[in-house]
Order: sequence, then C-alpha cells, then structure tokens
Amino acid sequence: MVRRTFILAVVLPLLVSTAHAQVLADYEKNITEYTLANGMHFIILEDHTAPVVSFNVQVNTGSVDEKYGETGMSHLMEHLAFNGTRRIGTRNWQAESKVFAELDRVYEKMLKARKEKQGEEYLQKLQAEFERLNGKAAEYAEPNEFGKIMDMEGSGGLNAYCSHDMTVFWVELPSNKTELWALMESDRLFNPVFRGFYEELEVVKEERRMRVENSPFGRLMEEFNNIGYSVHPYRNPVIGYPDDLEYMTRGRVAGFYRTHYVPSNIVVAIAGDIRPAELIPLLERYFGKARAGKKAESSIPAEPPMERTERRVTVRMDSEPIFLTGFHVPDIGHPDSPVLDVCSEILAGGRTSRLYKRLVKEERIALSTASWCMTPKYPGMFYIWAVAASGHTNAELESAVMDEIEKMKKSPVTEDEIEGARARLRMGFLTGLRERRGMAEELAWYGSITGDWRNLFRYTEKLEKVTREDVTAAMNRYMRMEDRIVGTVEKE
Amino acid sequence: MKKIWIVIAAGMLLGGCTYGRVERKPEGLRFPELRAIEKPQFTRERLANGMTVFLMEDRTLPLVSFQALIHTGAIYEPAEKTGLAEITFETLRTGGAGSLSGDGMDYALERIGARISTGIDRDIAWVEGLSHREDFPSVFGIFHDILTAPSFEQEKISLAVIGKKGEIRRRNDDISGIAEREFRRIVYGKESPYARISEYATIDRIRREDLVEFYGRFVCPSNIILGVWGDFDTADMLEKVRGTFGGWQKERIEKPSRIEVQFPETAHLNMIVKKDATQSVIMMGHGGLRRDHPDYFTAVVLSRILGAGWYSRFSRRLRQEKGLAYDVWASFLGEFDYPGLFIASAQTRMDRTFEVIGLMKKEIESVRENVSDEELAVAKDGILNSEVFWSDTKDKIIRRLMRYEYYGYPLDYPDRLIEGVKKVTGQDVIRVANELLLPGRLTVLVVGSPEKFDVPPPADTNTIPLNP
Repeated sequence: MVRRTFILAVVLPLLVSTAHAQVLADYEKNITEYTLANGMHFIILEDHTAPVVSFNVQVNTGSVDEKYGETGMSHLMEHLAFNGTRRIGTRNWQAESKVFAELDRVYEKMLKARKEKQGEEYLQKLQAEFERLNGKAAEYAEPNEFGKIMDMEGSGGLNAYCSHDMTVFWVELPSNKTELWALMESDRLFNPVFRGFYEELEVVKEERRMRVENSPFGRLMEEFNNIGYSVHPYRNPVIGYPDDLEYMTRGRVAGFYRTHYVPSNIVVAIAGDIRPAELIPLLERYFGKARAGKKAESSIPAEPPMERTERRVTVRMDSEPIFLTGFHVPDIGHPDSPVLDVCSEILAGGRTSRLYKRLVKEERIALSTASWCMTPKYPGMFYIWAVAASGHTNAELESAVMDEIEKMKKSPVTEDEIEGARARLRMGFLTGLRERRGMAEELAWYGSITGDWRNLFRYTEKLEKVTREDVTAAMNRYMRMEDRIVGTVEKE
Repeated sequence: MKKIWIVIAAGMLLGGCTYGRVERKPEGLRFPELRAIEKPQFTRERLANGMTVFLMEDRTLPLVSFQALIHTGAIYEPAEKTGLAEITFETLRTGGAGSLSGDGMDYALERIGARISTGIDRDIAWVEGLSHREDFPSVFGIFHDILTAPSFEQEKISLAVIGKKGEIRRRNDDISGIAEREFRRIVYGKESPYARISEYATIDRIRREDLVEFYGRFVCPSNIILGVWGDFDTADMLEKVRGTFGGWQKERIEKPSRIEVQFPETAHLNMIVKKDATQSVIMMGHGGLRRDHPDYFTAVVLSRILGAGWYSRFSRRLRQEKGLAYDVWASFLGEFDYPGLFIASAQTRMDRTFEVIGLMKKEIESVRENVSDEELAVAKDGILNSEVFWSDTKDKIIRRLMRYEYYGYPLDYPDRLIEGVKKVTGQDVIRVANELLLPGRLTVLVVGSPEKFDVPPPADTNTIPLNP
C-alpha cells in the first residue's frame, strides 16, 4: 500500500503531463477545422474505427437570450426544429403557409381577448375558428417526417436539448448517410416553418409537468436558481414559466429564431468515419447557401456580487426531504474553474470524499451526497446536495455540510486528496475519449463557448497543476457562509 | 414539386425486399454502399475450473475494462428476505475483501481513479470495472479478491440496510417510479419473484449469515463468465487471467434453474392516488414474450410501428397531432430468460387522462387491423440501417457477446435478428399483433389525482393503496 502510494505521488504526474500533451498532439493530427464564408464553423474529427458518424450542432443560444416574459422560447424553438421545413413535413407548403397566417391572426386575437377579459361568447367564437383552421393546417402536415427519415435511414440516436447557454442538436448515422445529414440539418437550421406550433406548445407544457411540477428535484432546482440569482437569466427555468408559455406565438418564436440562428452563431462537430476532403464540399453546398447574419448580442445583466445575503427557499410537497446548497462561482474561462472542480471532487467525489465519509459512512445521516461545480458561459454555481437517511433532517445535513466546508477553508487538504481527485478527473477524461458522441459534444461545446476546441485538452492539463494552496484559496474565495444559498424539499 | 419514386440503394441492399410503392425522401439523394463493419477478433476460453473467459484487444486508449457475469439473480432470494440479493451484492463491493477493508478498498481504487462496481438484477449479477493500463495488475487483484474472498463487514451491511430502508421510504416521491413498480407488480403478481419488492420487514430479517450463504450458493468459477477488453496483448492477458483465477477451486453448488412465470388474472382498471400531481402517469399492457420466441423479430417491427420511434403511431397521434403528451411509447420488452411485458405508457395532464387512455387503446386495436407499406418500410429499414450501431464500439460488442453466452443464446443472435427482420411482411405484423396484442386483456394503471380527471373513474376501478 505505502509503496504504491509513493510511486503514484512521485512518478505519475510526470507521466501524465506528457500523456496529455501527447493526446492533444494526436487529436491535432485527426482534427480539421473549417469555416464557411457565412461564418458557420465545423470541427471535424476523423475516427475510422467503425462506419458511423456523430453529428453535434451547437447553436450558441439558450434561455439566457430570452427577454422578459419569453422564458421557454429557446427550448420551444428546439422542439419546433423537428417539425419540418418548406420541403420536409408538408404536402403543400404554399397552401399550408396561408393557413398558418390566418390561424396565427385568430390566435393573437384570442390572446388579446383573454388579456382584456372580453366576453365569453366572443372567445368561444374565436376558439371555434381557431380549431377549424388548425384542423385545416393539419391536413397539409406530414407529422414527424424529419424524424421518420432519420429513423428510416438508420439513425443510431436523434435528439436535442437546450440549456441556459446552448441549443444542441445531435444525431448519429451510418457514414454513407453523411449527405443526408447535410441536407436535412441545413434545411432545418435555415428554413424552419414552426409547423405544429400549437400542439408543440402543449407538448412542452406536458414536459414541464413531468420534469418540474411532478418532480421534487425538478421543483427544488427551479426555485433554487430563482432565488440564487437576482438578475442574471440563469435564474429562469430553461423550460419556461407556465404563464410565459401561455403567451407564446409563432411570430415571436420566429423573431427569436431570426436573431439567434445565424451561421456565425453555430458550431458543428462531426466525429467519425469521414474524410474532410469529401466532407467539405458537402458542407459548402448545403450550409454555404445560408445568408450570413449579424450575430445577436443579448444584453445580459451581470449578477451583482452577493455580500452577506444568505438566501433560502423551501418547497413543500409529498416527498421525503432533500437538501441543496450553492455558492456563486466564475465561468469556464476563469483560472479558478479547474481548482473548483478539484474542490468538488474532494468534497463529494466518491466514497472517499469528505462528505460521503462523514454524512453517509460515519454519522449515517445521509443516504447520498453529491456536488457539481457548474462553470458555464457566465458565472456559475457550485451545487452541493444531500439526501437525508430515515429519521434525519435537512437541518442536520446542513450543519454537517457547512462544517466540512469550513474545515476545508481552515486547513489545507492533503496531497493525497489532491492526487486522488486528479486521478479520478483524469480517468473520467480518458474514458470520455472513448465515446464518439460525447467527444463531438465536448469539441463543439469548447469550440463554441471558449472559441477553441483545444481548450478541452488544456483544461485537463490545468487540472493536473492544481495545488493544495489553490484549493484552500478557492474555498475561501467562493464558499462564504454569509452568502450561501439554501434550498430544501420538506414533506407537506 | 417533382417527386421521384425511388427505393434507395442501401435500403434494397440491406432490406432485400420490396414494400410496394413507398415514397422515399428526400428525393434524388443516393447513398453509397456502407463499408462493412470489421468484426473484431475475440478469444473465448474455458479455464480448467469451469470459468468462461472472453478477451478482446482495443489498443486505442490506455484503458482496460473487465466484467464478470454471475449466474444468479434476485429471483433466487427467499421471498421473506426480499432485498437480500441486492444487499449481498452491494456489500460484496463495500464490505472489504482479501486483505483490504471496505474503506481500504475504496481508498485503493479511488486514489488512482479506478472503478469496480457490483450489481444484481432479477436473473443476472455482475462485478465490473475499469482501470488505467498501468494500474491493471493491482486493480485486477482487488477484483479477484471481491469474487473469491469477500469479507462482508458487519458495519457495511448495516450501512446497506440503512440505504435500502431509505429507498423504501422514498420510493413514492416520484410518480413515474410508482407507476413502473406497481404496474409490474400487478401484471406479474405481487408475490412473483419477477416483481416483488422489499419491505421494512423483509430487510429486518436479513443477517450476515444470509449474505454469506447467498454468495456461497452462486459465486463459483463455473457460474462465471469473465470478460476483459482494452489495451493489452491477448496472449499476455490470457496468462494473467489464468494466473489470477486458475487456482480458484470451488465446486459448483448450484446452477440456478429458470423460475417459470404465471401471469395472474388482474382487474382491468387500477388506480393509485398521488395527491399533489399535475400530470397522470398511464401504463397499460399485459404479458409478452422472450427473445427466443419465433415471433420476436416480428414483435420488434410491430413495436416500432405502434409505439417506438419518431414515426410510430403513438408518437404521431398522441404527441405530434394532439399535443397530449411529451413522453409516450408502446413496446414489447423482450427478456432473455422469462416472458417480458407489452407496455404502452403516457404521461398527460389530469383533465385529459381518460381521453388519452381511450386513444392508446384505439391505437393498440387498430394496429391489429392494418399496417401500411410505409409504416412497414420505416420500421424495417430503421432496424436494418441502424444495425451498424450495435457494433460500433468494442465495448458494446463484447458486452453483448457475454450476455448471449450467459443466457445461452447463439453468439450470432444479432445476425439472426437481422435475417428475421428482413423477412417480416405486413401480414406477419398483423398476424402477430392479433396473437400477441390482447385488447381484451389489457391491464391499465393510472397514477394521479382522480378529482382532477376528465371523467370520474368507473365504479369497478381497483384502487391500490400506497405503502409506506
């Protein structure tokens, strides 16, 4: 035991830093970057181990770009991107588009009438007209044609998600279907028609009920972020508030789309069995046609520094208790970000972490503990969760968690803890390299948010250099008790 | 717009069948033939002590993965001690082994970023892990000790008991979790080994001797299929495996035999009240089939047409056309060793609950009457064209091979599935839908707030209480 620890502590760091440099050098050889005249950027990773390709499209927009009263718009747009174009998903676009225009006029009248509390009879008349027109529009639609084509041609997964920062579309296809992807993806990114708008709005409301309203954890996160930020849009739920969803219109979503879905705001990573020389002409042909647009600058208010403003929220529902606390931390580009990842590992990464050892193994007041240092595009949040064991309370968990944080602030962590944290993060990184889809996602994310995919590799190198002093300093800088945010779920 | 009627070359090539006049979009695109996937070499050996070994080299990264599948399962635990299998397998990993205490093992592994975990399902159990190539000898040694010389420290047993009781206490927090668990209990029967769940009383009866006995009954070389894959040379690794496990002598005590399933009679409509929910969870279905059933291939195609995938009837009708649900699907869930279930599921707002139940039933009935050429083509081509994703990583390939070996299925089962799917016709789908989808025998479960439903639940609804 002792001998192995010694060897690891002394030899491995050297081995590892050369290994990382080597890995980056290998990827440099296999990655080609290409930017179209309209500004759309592609990161192409050759991997010929199997005849498949992973495509990951990241539109640099998310709920942070939504205006007041428009929460949920970027996520709704992500859904609508699957509903086809002038070419895909319709039997007759000309006729269909005319019905859309009529339908939207009636819907906007309905919204106005509801807002102004006009007579029930008038509303019912509008409602009947709306249903008639919506039925007519449905006659022209080919439901789910986009997904149908991808399914039929052998997609190994087709989906999308939206975060505070990004809207991400991904699909995996057999490599002989690369042109199909280029055709379909360019069409959906640059010619969407927001078909099935009113039904999709209902689908999103169902998604909200499932993910947020019926989920203790979902409700806790929504309420927590809402008090955790006072002005920054990270306070809003990506899925949107119910009231904002009620007032969405096709026209407003189209406006959002035009502002943010411009080529220079999109980064695509393509990983798999492709040759750049064959791929690039396809990218030119299909994506090059899109008109360059002005990259939207959202005016996003900076979160004022929190000073002695502890904030608390309690969600009461039919659920056992859950404890969550958080502290403001910087964004991905800040030098403290890798340090905070090491802090998170030491606090709650695995069974040897401080919180697990104390709360679960020794005091047995928790069933599980976890932490996540979220360092996104804008200053993020260091989250810590604990789930109480039967007969124990959130108050007990809070006092134990805060006590452990204080200890990490007062005395330095051990060299052994740092080494272990680095080893786990390093192995996590290595295993991530095995996943074609995950790699495409990481490359596109770093490419888009930080401007260079190489930062993925540089970040892991920075992790290797984190010292005990860095950890103590970061803990003291960010984990101030008087500024903590606490959210709990308590049984009704 | 000029429309061209074509059948895409790749579809022909892989499908080898015609669907009538099916329009392919986007028009005019032609795809080159997909290059054949290279089938990776693997080695399969039987050690003298009866252990089966699979090895596969993958030199792309300096990592080595390993997995032992063990012939056992929660179905073999005594009913009055339900939970024993899970606690045994949790403590196998956490309770120390060989010269290491449980905490010592956590440290030894986490200190170098290596992982070993254990788990048990109803009819299979596993110990698996991953390490850096450089650390493999020591990690593999720990893995060996876990399988051959576990300590089952009392302290870690009591920790597992706290965890299990915590799970029981929290199991009704999440509405989907309630639906999945209770639906299974209704259809298989709540006493069935394939559906039963732990209670405080069954956990309280479990003693350390029970764990030692459960481990001793099943964990022996001849009940284990061991796989190692990653950055190594096969000959070296085979020697390493022989050196590590070859000397482990333990007679087979029990090769567990299959426990047959008898589906009980159930009430048609069952309801569970979750008072603060805003969305109801609906599950409906009945007994299904094993993967070795002669009609399984057709059932896979039928599932795609009815409720799995973007173009399925469930997705089109309930989600896309009506906006009634975000999460909606229907499928035959084929198990290897016992009959799986046919399940249709949706989550919808409370005041549309019975409307959605009606629509789901209607789709299940209508697929027994007709299937269009288009639907058949989308389902079959989807399966055939995506076959490459079953084998696009070595990790997927070796894990799958080991599963087939474990359940006694032919190792070329995927090839047979593909051949089977190619031959499925529209008539086959309708015949199988009529034989295997039984609208008259559907068991329906709704979890929600009945006072908010669109119609009051009928008088003969069976209301199931939630405990604890």
